[in-house]
Amino acid sequence: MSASPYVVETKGLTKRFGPRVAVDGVDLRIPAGSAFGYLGPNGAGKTTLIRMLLGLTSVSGGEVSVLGHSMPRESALALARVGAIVEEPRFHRYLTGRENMEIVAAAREPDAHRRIEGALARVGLTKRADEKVRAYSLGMRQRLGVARALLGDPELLILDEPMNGLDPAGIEEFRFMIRGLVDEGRTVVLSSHLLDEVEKTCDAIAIVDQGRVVVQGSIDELTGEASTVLVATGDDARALGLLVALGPEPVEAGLRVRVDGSTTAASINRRLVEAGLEVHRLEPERVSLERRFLDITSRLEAAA
Amino acid sequence: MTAYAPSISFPGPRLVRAEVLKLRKRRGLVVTTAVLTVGATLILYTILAAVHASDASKHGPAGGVANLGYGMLLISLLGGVAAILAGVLAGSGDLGAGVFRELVVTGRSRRALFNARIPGGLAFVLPFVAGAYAITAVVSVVAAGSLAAPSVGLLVSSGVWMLLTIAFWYAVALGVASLLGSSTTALGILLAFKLALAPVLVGITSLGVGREAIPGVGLDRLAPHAVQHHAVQGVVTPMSVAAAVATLVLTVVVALALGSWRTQSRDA
Repeated sequence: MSASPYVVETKGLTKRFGPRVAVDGVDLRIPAGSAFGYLGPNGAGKTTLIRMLLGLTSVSGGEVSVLGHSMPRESALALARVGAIVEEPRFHRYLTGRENMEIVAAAREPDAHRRIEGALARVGLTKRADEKVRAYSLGMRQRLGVARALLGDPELLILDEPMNGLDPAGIEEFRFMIRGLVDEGRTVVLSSHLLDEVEKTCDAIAIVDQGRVVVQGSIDELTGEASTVLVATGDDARALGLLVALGPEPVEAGLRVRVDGSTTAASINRRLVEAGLEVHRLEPERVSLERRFLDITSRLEAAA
Repeated sequence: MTAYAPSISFPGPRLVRAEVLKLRKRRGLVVTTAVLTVGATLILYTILAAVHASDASKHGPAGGVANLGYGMLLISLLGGVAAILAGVLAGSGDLGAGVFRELVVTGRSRRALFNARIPGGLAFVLPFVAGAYAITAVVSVVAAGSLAAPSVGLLVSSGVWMLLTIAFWYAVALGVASLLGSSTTALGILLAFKLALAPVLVGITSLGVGREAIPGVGLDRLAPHAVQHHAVQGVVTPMSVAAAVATLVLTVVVALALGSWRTQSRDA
């Protein structure tokens, strides 16, 4: 394990394609031993950043460190402990799943060959491993891609849209597998547009838009403290008048009231009860990752 | 967890075996290579034996030195095509399938990935050529009849020349395909050059010593003297052995260097 608390650190990481800036001065820190979500709309530069982390494409500016090793200078040292799926996992379709594993194991250390069976078992492909990959469904290819990424016994797994093509049961299975990998002390970086899945699976996230990381932190910090509460009383019209200073917003089943440091759910409750109102509902409204994501990206869109 | 870092450029036997696996599991390539080498040789000698059997006074035996040379010509032409096919697939197969990226993210040196293709592809294609040549050599001795059978020395030197010819075309194809990254383009260019352009250029005597620089021409010069006029397509360009060796080595080195450079520099 690397000594740094971060398995990936970038400083001012930039990638230009001619005049177009695909990744624009990204400073990213991915904590060790976590599931980290990397979110952004299509074309935001997610895959380009992943490709730079893995040394698949050159860097136009800035610095990258993976597992404490500078990339691309020390790529052999860093990538020996990294497993990755970039975009759709690709295989020689005329070879079997097991043969495809052997091809990549041959490029890794000798122990990688001994991990083939375990990796196939882990993704549930043991029985289909001797079939040609051309007969695999997309979901099976995704699982084989994960198995292949595990051949190096990685400290860091980078999975680009790994849940594409999986059915709901497969997605749930995948989520458990990722959590299992994190429980083993590995770090999993998940690039995905499935916000709900990222919220359920990851500990921390970064949201990227137009090549820039616009926010990063733990899921709790970003979805964070509820900023509104839903209130339902015996007389919502009267409650509206009592709470008018807080800018209440009538909703289907009562009122949505904004809270901050000086106004809390408890203080709202006290005010309503003291006014003789029956409080039927007082529910802190947690901001979903989806809401937060859309707030951020739409705000940026409006500013552009 | 491991901290293994395979940073060396030397590919190692596992990586070479993986290259052989990738080629020998391509059914179309295996069938084509077998047909172009062993199959074509069997057909040639079957025909020669049949016509000799039908009218021995008009058609000579299937063996002998001259027919050894014709067998070598067939293998060098068709085996050369098979070598080009194998070289092109070895050079661009990973890239075409999108697997090159998966190999790069292992951290293995790209130079090692490229270098593994050299022995890997040769280990695939040379046994077919050796098999075809073995048939040629055996028939040239056993079926010599009234003709002089080739000496052991001639058989050995012819075999070495045969393998050298195939290895040359494999290496050139590997380098060109790795450079271009497209199997279709590389195959088209190489076959057009080997089968059409090179023979035409060699025939243009006004090119003078410039013909010595044509890739592959040196191979004709190095063919064993006793079979040279049978084993070579068209005329043998007059040049010294040293010049022939130098142009062949230079061609292979340049092709492989370009292929290696592109493998290391391209976006995966």
